[in-house]
Amino acid sequence: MVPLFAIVLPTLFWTQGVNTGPKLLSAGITQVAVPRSESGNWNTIAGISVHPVDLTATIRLGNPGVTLHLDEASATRVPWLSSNGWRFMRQPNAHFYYDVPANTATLAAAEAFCYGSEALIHTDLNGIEPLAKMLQFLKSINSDGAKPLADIGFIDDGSAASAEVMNLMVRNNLLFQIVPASSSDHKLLVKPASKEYPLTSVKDADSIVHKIRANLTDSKRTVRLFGTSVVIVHLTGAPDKPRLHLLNYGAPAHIRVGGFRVRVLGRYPKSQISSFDSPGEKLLDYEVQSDATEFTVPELKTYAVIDLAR
Amino acid sequence: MNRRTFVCAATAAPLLGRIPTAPLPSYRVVTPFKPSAHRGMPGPYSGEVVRVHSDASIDARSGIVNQTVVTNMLSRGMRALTGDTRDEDCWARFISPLDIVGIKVNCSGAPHVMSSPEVVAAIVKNLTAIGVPPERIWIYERFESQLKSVGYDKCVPKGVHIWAAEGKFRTSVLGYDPDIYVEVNFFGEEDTRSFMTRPVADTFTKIINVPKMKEHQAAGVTGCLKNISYGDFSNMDRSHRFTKTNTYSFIGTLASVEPIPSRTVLNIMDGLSAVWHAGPFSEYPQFRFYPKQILFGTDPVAMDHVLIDLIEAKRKAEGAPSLFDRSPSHIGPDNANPQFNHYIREPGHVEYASELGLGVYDSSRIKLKTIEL
Repeated sequence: MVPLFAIVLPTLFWTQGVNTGPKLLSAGITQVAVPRSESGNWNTIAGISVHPVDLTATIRLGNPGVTLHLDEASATRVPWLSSNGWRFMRQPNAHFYYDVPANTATLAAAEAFCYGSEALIHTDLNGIEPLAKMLQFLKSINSDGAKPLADIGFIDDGSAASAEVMNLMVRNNLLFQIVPASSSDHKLLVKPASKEYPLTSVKDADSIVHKIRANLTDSKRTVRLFGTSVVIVHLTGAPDKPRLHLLNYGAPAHIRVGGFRVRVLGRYPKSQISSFDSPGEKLLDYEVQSDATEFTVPELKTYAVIDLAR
Repeated sequence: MNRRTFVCAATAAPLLGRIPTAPLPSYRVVTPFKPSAHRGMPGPYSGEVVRVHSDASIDARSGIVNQTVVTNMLSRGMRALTGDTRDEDCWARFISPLDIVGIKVNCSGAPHVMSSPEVVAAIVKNLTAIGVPPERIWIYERFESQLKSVGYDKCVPKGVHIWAAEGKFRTSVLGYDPDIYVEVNFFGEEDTRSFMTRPVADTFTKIINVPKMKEHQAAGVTGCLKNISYGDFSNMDRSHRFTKTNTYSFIGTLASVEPIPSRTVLNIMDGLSAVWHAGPFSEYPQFRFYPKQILFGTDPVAMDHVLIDLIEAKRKAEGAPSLFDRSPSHIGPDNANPQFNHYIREPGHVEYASELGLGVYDSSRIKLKTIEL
């Protein structure tokens, strides 16, 4: 499979008949990927660019979102987040495939986009209009190359246990990057199965991630979020011009994030927020402190990008 | 001025009796406010508590409160506390017409056991009588759904604000001041900040604390200290996520964050009805009871000690374990059975708060004056 577009945007993978073409056009879809066997039928539909694909060359992803643990006797309801971030980071050049319900299509598209990964998204007719809007939004904000900024260098040994460590780091907003063993570019270098991080099975992952956080210390973390348990941040760009990608994993479950505080290490007097489903949104209580910048995001429905600059 | 100029670290107080021996969490308190010269807590009546009891205050069968009796109870309580003979003089000791007054109610047990609208109405009536315009009076709580379910607006003059920090979805920090918070990591949680509600920080000049008499599954009791601390900060329920909670030190730490201790000038604890088990909620009618009393004071620690004694006596009469019981055999999921509780209770939080300077815990130094109507 070759990259479909110059900018890495997710693409609708469509298996319904060519007779649905007008509905796709009406929703705003102008590019689709279709099974190679059906591509010939679509040549007759004007206004839609069609790319034949073979799903066997893709990696199937899980549905991004949350699982609520309402049965637990606790006043704190921290949901379980299902993110594919670690998969994108482990295989940055792979081709991915989502098969998601309508209410998850936009989050899936945003998730793949912010990690700079190429992904096909299969959804139903109800999902195509919001997906089309999300794709338009992603196109409008431009990709910054999605070069990650991270606090932690992680030496991935390819094991399932390392995968779980990476998964938990993504979910806990511990910003990491997969690096070669000789790397010294990060605040903390983590080598799984070492004396410091004795990772022998998936069961060890949680304690390892706690140790990683403790060794890094919260004060050295480039980004912290306060007031939400369903938002994952991914950081890209350059140190003088970072971009925060904020994903609300509660969106498919209609969990509205009504305001949360963000702390970014460094002084950034300039900012610009682009929010998918809250156009015109402004950051609140913006403060440039001696060593950090803090602000409040008033609302996050699905996805927003915040560009900071010195 | 950088509002972060004043950053202080709360340090672990000396360990006391009846408390956990494990190290206390490390708290980082961030607030721009310094203590006022005359702090509201413990205030001018440190160690003093006035109890006014009236059998006619509430009908235990219907739960209907007698407004006339309650108004009289407030009058007698305030006069006994201050020594004044006119209600206006009593209230003027704490509040001036220029103040913006926050009335911190407790609605977590609504619609059955909450700060009674009749008590709140009587407080508002006294405030307006000394010249505080309704527009300068706020009745507030953290959660809008609980607050609205009570309907305080129906019993106070038009213009009084009814305000909640968090709306229907309880997922917003917009009702909180981003510059005043306590940062602590209890168990590895990602969200380590608890922010103070905005009007406490930037609007109120005085606060009247109106807790409800209740047992609390995690804290032991929820009285003055818990209402003015957990009720004024975000993200505090993380302190009692597991069986062993951090309520012991978190409650006093939050209650000590300025401007709360400076601005909270009066505590009026509603004990017309109460909860002796499975609090702070009131899901089980069998755990409600009717002390038919109201406590008055400026010292939240002394008042909460009186509350502990009251709840403890009721639990003993019902054959339930002591609030101070820490036996694992009494921990269980079925708190409909008063022998079991979800958490190890921490009523020692009241004594801990005394070590932070919030009041008097020592029974021998507490002066309890009881008035029977």
